Amino acid sequence: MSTFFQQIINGLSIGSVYALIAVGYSLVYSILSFSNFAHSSFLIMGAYTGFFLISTNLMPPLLAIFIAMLVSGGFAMFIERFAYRPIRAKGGKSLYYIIASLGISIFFENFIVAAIGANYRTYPSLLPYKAIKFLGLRISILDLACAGIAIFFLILLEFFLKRTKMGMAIRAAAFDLTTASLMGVNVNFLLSIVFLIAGFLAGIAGVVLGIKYTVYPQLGSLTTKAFIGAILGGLGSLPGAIIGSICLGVIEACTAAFISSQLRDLIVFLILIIVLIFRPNGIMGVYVDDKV
Amino acid sequence: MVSSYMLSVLTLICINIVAVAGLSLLTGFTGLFSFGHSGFMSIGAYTAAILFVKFNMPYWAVLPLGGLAACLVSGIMYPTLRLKGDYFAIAALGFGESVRLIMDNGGNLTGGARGFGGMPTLTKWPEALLVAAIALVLMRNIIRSRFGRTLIAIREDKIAAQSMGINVARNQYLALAISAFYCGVAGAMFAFFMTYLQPSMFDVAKSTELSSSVVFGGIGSLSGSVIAAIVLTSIPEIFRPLMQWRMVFYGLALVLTIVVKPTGLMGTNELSFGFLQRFARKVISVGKKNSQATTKPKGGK
Amino acid sequence: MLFEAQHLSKTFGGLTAVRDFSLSINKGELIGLIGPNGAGKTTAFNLMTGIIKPTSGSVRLEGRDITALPAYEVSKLGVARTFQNLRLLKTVSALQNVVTAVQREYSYSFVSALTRTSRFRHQEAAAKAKALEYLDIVGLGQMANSRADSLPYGLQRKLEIARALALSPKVLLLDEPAAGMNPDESLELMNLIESLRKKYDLTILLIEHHMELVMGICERIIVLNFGEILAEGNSEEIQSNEEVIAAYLGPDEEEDEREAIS
Repeated sequence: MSTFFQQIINGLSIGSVYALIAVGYSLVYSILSFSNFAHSSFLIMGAYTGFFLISTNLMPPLLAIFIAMLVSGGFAMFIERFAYRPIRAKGGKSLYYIIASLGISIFFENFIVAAIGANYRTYPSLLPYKAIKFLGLRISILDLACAGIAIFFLILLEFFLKRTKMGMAIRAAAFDLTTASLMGVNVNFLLSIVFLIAGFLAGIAGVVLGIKYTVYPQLGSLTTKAFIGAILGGLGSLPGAIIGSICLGVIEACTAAFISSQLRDLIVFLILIIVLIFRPNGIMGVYVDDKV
Repeated sequence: MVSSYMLSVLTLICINIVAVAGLSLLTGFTGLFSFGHSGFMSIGAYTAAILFVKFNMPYWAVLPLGGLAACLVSGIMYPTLRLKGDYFAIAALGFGESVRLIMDNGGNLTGGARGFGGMPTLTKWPEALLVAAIALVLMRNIIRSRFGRTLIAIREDKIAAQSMGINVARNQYLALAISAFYCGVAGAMFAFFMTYLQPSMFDVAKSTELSSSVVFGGIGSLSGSVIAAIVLTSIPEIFRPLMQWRMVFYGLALVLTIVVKPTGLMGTNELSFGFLQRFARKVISVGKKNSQATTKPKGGK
Repeated sequence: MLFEAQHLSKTFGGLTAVRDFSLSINKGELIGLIGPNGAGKTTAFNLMTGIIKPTSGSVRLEGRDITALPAYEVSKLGVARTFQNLRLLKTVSALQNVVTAVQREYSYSFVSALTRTSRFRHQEAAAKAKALEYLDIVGLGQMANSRADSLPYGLQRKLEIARALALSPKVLLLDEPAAGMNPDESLELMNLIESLRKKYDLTILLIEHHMELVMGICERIIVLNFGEILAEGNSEEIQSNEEVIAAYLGPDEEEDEREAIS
């Protein structure tokens, strides 16, 4: 039984990191209605930037991490401005966004491989490799930090969305972009902010994952899991992204421990297909069909 | 003098043409974007390989059987067809990855992650060229028929299509099944080209390559997809030393194409004499305009 | 009784778009469906063509209950419609738009298509010829090979009508066929509809806002407001119906009018 709870803990930890990724992804989806596959690039950007800044030892690690987040946020804004905005100007067909985002992720991942190299980079150790023993369960400091960071930023996001004017504008835009713009919201500015946030969150997730798993160009593939989490919870819903990601993390951990670690990914993908067939709106999402 | 290396590139090009032609029916003409078609290639490849190696069936039998196997398995995706664009693409991704993982865990049947070998090189350039030619002719015949028109109608406006008496779900499935068949055959050809198989050969990157070829070439243009497949397969081989950078340029090219000309290289046009004539005329007239501009005397003061 | 809707109702969440909508059309009639914007006219059309399913009520074609049938089946049985906001196949030619509709009558097997048999060639040619006929009749013969989205708006609307015609419908539902047209174009369109009706012996249900035209050609008019039928009758009866006037102009203005007159 304690193993079960142990897996729950493990699952919560990785799930919370998925949540950080999934929320940014779902946020973009809620406004532009497309799956931003370039999200993985924001993550990698954060991971590598954090790694290099910390390795230079020029600044306190926290500052380095903060800068890494800003860089990935800025990168996200850059992508929006130069890849997605022109598409939006031309009508914004979902398909075009997806393909552009695909191109970006292919470009970026391979750019890293070609320019920087595919070797695994290990973050200098920032946290003790100890574990806390609590009620018979082992919780590593690292996992605790992961979860803590994730929760911190998610609360910050919640505050931003619910208590600031910009946040309200974003929620309005998520509901209906055209109407929001007709009501005076500066859509270009809003989208920049949204991507900044998405990049920000992906960046910190990247740093965290980089610390946990080492940094390598394919680190971004973990975003696929986060996407599945977002869908599980309901694409376009932020609480859904969080719930779905955490559920996914727990399911993953339990599957790996109790069934087979090799079958873990297979089961995750099968769950994805089953969810899409039987309940595409996920746990909380809104699935909108065409208007006639 | 044509080296054997160039001939093997030609073979690979033909294999990719078959896969891309099949996928273009689903993506280019029916409007369904898929991230999982390498899964169908995988099913075709392994089916053909296993039937050949373990059951001694002949090459020309296992190719269509591989296609058939992929076609049958595509039935699993039927319920996902009604999903909105993005969702279907992701479901397809789930499918492709599931296939890969199943093959990884296939034990003695598929050889697992270690691989499955023992196939002789039966897919050489004449065979590949023949199959590709047949595949293209048949695909063109499908597209230029009531079936093609039905799919195009679905792509353009599902509701309008329904109001014209078109059973959208059934026709989407037809396109999916055919595209799966084509990818299955391509996979089977591939098995006898590589002579060994590993599940990782058919991953998301491969699926993405296939889908982006279709988009690159132009949604709604079979010849565009073929050209894109030729270009995308041959460039990395030509620029082998720049191997690492080829995918970088590929990604960049993809983004630029979509941002600048979303309709792809060919748009919805097909390569034909008429097209070439119009294109030539355009180039000539632009050239004329420029030369006129430079020879015009400067306006007097 | 060719086509009838019986007590159709449709509720979306908390909103009742259509309530107790009943109508019957006899063969050869031309009936108008009018009402202020948002009255539920297009929803009624959608219900009658199977695009959305009613919360309650039924639709019958020649006595047969078609309520539960999917939209494509309804179309195959002989109910054709045009759309308020045009749903053309934009990137293909006008001809292909119509051929896609008419090809139902000119079928051949999949294998025939693959192998290009003589049946294939014969049916394709016949379908194309028939489609051209329809295009000619609405005046689009010359523009057959133009891309649908390159056509001027008025011709696009005609194309959509040609496409609906090509389905050889038993009942034709036209949703604001003259939307966005100036008075001259609308008049021309209405004359076209009238002549098509005679030529093909059509039964037509028409949604329109251009009052003079509706009053001019429709034998019977049904008025919808807030999802419910307000009135039904011929043009004189409708024009003098106080409730209808109130629905369009608003009760206050009706009061003002009365005060101004007295």
